[in-house]
Amino acid sequence: MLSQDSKTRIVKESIIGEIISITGDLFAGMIMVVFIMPKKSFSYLIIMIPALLTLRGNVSGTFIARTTRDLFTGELSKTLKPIKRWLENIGATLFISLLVGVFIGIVSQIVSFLLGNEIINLFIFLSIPLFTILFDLIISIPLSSFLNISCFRFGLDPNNLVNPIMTCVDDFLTVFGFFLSLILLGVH
Amino acid sequence: MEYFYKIIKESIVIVLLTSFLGLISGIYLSDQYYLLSSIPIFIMVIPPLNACIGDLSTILISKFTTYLYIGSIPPKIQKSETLKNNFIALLVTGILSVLFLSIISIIISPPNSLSILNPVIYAFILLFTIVILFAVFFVICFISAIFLFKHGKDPNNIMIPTLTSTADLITPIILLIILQIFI
Repeated sequence: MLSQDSKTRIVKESIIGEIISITGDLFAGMIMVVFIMPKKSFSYLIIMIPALLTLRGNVSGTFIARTTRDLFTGELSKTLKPIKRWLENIGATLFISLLVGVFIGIVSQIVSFLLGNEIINLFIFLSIPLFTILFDLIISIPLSSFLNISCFRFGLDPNNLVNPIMTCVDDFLTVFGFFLSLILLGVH
Repeated sequence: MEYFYKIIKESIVIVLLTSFLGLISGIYLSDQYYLLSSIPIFIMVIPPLNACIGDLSTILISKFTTYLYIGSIPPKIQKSETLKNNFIALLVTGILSVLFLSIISIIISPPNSLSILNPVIYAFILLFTIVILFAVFFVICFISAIFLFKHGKDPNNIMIPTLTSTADLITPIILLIILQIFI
């Protein structure tokens, strides 16, 4: 069936996912322009935004892929048993995210210092990525697991549905979490 | 804890590396802050544009991998009808997506986000960016899929994280270069 892909069929099947993805990401962009951009420190804060969005994709995306694979191979049941395997997946995802969050914070601080930043200190540069990542993963992990299991139960391939939906949700949560961290830390 | 350590061992280097690429992109955006702040709509469209080129690359590599495994395309760098169909179809998808992005972003963007730029030029900049990036990524996807397949590796595992991160790095840079040409 795949070898007989016609041009029209490819466009029809891919455009819906693209429109959903673009719409979700536009809201993330909107939060950046309306709430984050007016801040005095935006020129320094923007250093870490692409890295956080990339991290979100590589950490959350691979968590989803591992859960899907475990469900297909039977290493994880529809009731998430053995729970130890799922918890180890979560633990590793959180560990990697926090470690890379610290890396992003330190590099951003160094670069912004070289660019003349006198507004934001290292504590804030470390807290922003850590809070943002945790905020995203606390919502994203249970939601993506629920979607994965639901797709699996209804006989749908989670690969085709969960990743595009979660890309859009995660991008929004990352930018929103970033904005919340600025409010909580009092960054102007 | 065996699974926990296995995940960390296999993922940490690529995640650190791709985050570093993201930081390079962020440094470039910070450097172009004054240009971006004069046309804020471009900040708004960076996440969806990144997502669009990332999604198209993922579709491409996933399709090429499947075609190679089922034998629809030979593991050689040569033209084929399948290749042509995919190039045209996904390019059309990219163009339609960007047209949608241009229209919706103009509608929902805050006032003065596009103040110094004509909306037609704005749409053209986005279109030009997606066409250039798609053409480059198509060639990279095709050649790397064949190379990895010939070496017994699954192109999905290596190329998807690599291409999405590269897209995150390159998209804003190409977008701003094209913007500077037009203003």
